[in-house]
Amino acid sequence: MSLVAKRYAQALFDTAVDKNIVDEVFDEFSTVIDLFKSEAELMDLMLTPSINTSEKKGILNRIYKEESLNQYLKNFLDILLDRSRFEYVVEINETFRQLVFPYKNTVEAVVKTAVPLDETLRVALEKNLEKRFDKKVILDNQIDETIIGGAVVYVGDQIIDGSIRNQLNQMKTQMNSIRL
Amino acid sequence: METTGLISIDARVMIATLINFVIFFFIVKHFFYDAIKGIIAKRQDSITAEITGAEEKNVSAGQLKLEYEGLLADIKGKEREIIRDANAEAQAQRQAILDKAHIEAKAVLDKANAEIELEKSKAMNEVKSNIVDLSLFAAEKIIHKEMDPKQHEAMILDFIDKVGEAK
Repeated sequence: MSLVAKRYAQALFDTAVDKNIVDEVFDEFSTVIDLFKSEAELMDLMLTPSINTSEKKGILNRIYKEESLNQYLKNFLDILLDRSRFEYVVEINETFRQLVFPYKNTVEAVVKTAVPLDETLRVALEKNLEKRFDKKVILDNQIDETIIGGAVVYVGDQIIDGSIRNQLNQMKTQMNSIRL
Repeated sequence: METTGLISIDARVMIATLINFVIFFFIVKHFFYDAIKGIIAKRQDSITAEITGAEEKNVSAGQLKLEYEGLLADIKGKEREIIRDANAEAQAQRQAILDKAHIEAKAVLDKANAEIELEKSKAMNEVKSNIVDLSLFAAEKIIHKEMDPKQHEAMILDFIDKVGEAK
């Protein structure tokens, strides 16, 4: 993480805590970033030097109207444009999330499955992970057919591997360790 | 003058000659006898001394001969000793060379055996690894084919339960 991203993320986080709008800013900032990530052309426009700041603010205003963003978040994004720091917006969001998670006693987790996880299973897994880590868990499901079956959960630097791939790998290790 | 034959006897001549001889004898005896006798005695002494010297030399030569024979015997003894030592040393060297050669040969053999064992082990492990890979590849294909949505769900449910159990 760059120092710029850390500084801006900390400023936004401090303001959100101060104004008691952490959840709101967290959700809305994530929505905006998801939009920029899914619309690569929109992000390119925001980073194009030949387009002036007022035009870029016009683009942001259209997003604000659609998403009805919090005023403090709007001001924050405008400041990034004014100070030519918009290129750091994704990184700032990531740093901001890292600040919010401990504050909300929350942890991000990724569960990899060979088939999409239906909502019931996702909620059940989230619940059990929360019980296990004693934290609120935000779970993201990613499809990875190479695991064959079962699931693998990544929480921070911890891995809980219940995949068929892992079982096959363990079997392979055991079979290879047999002395002839 | 009376002529006679080739040989004639004249008494006067004979007497004169005899007188001459006697005079000559006494002169010689008087003047030269002791000198001649001294010379002869000296010569005799010299010869005696030479004979004695020769005898002494002979004795000395005999002693030298004995001495040299003794020395020769010593030399032969030493020569035999040197040859014996040389033989012993050569034998020891031969044994040392043989021992070294045996040790080296054993080391080479041991190394070769170890390499053979290693290669054998490598080959066995490679075969084993191939068998394992092939078995797991086949198992994976079968599992892929056999897995249906229900089995996926069952496995995930099992995983969720285990996540909840272990803390």
